[in-house]
Amino acid sequence: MLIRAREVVKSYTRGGESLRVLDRLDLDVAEGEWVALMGPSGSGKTTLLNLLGGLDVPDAGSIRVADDEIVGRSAADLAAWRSRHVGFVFQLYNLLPVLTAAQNVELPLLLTPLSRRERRAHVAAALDVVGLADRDDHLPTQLSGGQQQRVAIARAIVTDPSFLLADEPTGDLDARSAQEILALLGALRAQFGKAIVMVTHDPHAAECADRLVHLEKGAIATREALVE
Amino acid sequence: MTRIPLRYNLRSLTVRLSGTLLSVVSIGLSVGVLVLVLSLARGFELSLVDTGSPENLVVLRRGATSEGESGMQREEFRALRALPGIAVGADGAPLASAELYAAMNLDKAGGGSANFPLRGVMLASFAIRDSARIVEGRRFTPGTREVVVGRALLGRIAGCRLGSALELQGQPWPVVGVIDSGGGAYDSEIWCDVEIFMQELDRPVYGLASARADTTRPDGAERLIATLEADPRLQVKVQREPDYFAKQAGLLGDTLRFVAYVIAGVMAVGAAFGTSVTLLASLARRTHEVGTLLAIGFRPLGVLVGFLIEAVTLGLAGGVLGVLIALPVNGIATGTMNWGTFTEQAFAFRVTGDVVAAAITFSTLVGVISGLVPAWKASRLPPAAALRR
Repeated sequence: MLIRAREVVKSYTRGGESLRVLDRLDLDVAEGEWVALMGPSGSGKTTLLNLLGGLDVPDAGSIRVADDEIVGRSAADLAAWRSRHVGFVFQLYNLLPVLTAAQNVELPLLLTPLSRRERRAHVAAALDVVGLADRDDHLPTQLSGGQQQRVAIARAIVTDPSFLLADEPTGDLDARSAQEILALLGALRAQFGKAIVMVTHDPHAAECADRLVHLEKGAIATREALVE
Repeated sequence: MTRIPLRYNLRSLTVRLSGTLLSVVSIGLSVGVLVLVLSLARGFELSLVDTGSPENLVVLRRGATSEGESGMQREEFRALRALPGIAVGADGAPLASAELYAAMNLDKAGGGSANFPLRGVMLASFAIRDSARIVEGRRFTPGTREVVVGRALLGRIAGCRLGSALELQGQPWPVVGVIDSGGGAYDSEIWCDVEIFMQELDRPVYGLASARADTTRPDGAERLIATLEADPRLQVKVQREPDYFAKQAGLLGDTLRFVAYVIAGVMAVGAAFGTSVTLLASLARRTHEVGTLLAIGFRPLGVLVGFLIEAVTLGLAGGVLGVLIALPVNGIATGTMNWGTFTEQAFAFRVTGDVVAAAITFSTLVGVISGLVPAWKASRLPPAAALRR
């Protein structure tokens, strides 16, 4: 099992009131598995994604990734862990607007010991995978939404992470671009065997996943194995 | 710790150019004022500090802090002149000279009047204080009212030029020579015969003595200082010539420098606040970018350093701008009251290397200070919360 989350609890305090967002949640994700997280707003989807990616820490429980416990680490430690294991894809792409496509893709590589030449080769390969090899010197504002999300995906995979976390990756795209992004994610999974955990509101997107996990009030409501 | 790429921070500064420019200009103005006043202090100090050589001794009455306050009896000077350890001139006479230093009010070239220093000297002073060289005309003739004037005074005293005469005590004093001490204190002095000067001022005693130590003896200057200060017939304090002028320079130089840092400091506080606010506004707009960098795996310390670099860049740019603003004054001649002697001292603004270094250090510091809060806040952002915004 790649990801094993057990008894995960997370609460937020809002207006003096404690709100339990995740309530003793268990979740397993296998190597190479594509899991879609669905549920109404406030059901804890994004919170769960952040916890799995080490962007936030749970109040209680255990999250093991490839047999490494990630709960209880320092902020700097978690940052280092993220750089090795997690590739993030966001709804609004989150490209740095002042950097070119290639420079955005290169960012995670700066945290590795690779030489400048090796980094350039990795960046070129990643941009090639997402079909944007010819747009490497474009600024994000010079790219369409779909293209920006491809650059973001290239950035997420360039360090060959253990898994991808995608928070509504098609939420801001038109239907055609969304379909292309889903196809790209599927191809990546097929080609490189990357596990993907994806938060989505879109039933079409959810259909692409191997398994749908429905969250309701901080717990898993139903598990429904989707037919491939 | 891996730094966030420099180009990200530098380019982010160019995104909102108006805020960046305002910060740079406000820091630049404070640095400009600093450079202006520091170069004033430096020019004043250089005009005095460069004066004299260490084997020359300035002998003042004990308790006097400047040449103008000092007094020396004729018999004291005779005793001094006969002491061992004084160098001997080309004519075989000891290189010791009785002098009288006094401020005289003269009309300035641009209107108004100011105190200018007159130094009554014996001819031996030309051999002792040899940093002052006659570059035009000749020495004065002893027993006459002839004077030689410092180079810097030519444009500053009304009618002061070779061949003219200065009006002092209602008498004409012909200018027969010009002395140049290479930017030193003597460039602002008028030299005349000490005995004539005493008569004119109705003063029965000398002011001070200058003497050159015989440096062929080991520790010649130190031993002569000890001999002079130990002699019971003399109640004197002895300083080396450069030390004396450095002390004179220190008085006003330190005050100017203090004023420079106070004024520039007050302005810089405003500039630092402005820069801080600019950076905080920039951080607020870029919170999700910081969140993205943290998500990718950059550490909080890297984020902190990145924002500090932005702040220091603004500071340095302000520093360079400030130096450029102030640079045109370099070399402009001016004059001021020397607080040690209460006479007009001519000098030029000097934007020297150490002034520029002080300005750049100052502006870097302003940058660091203005960046501390924004950088700290940026580095403390929880990644998940930063991404939500």
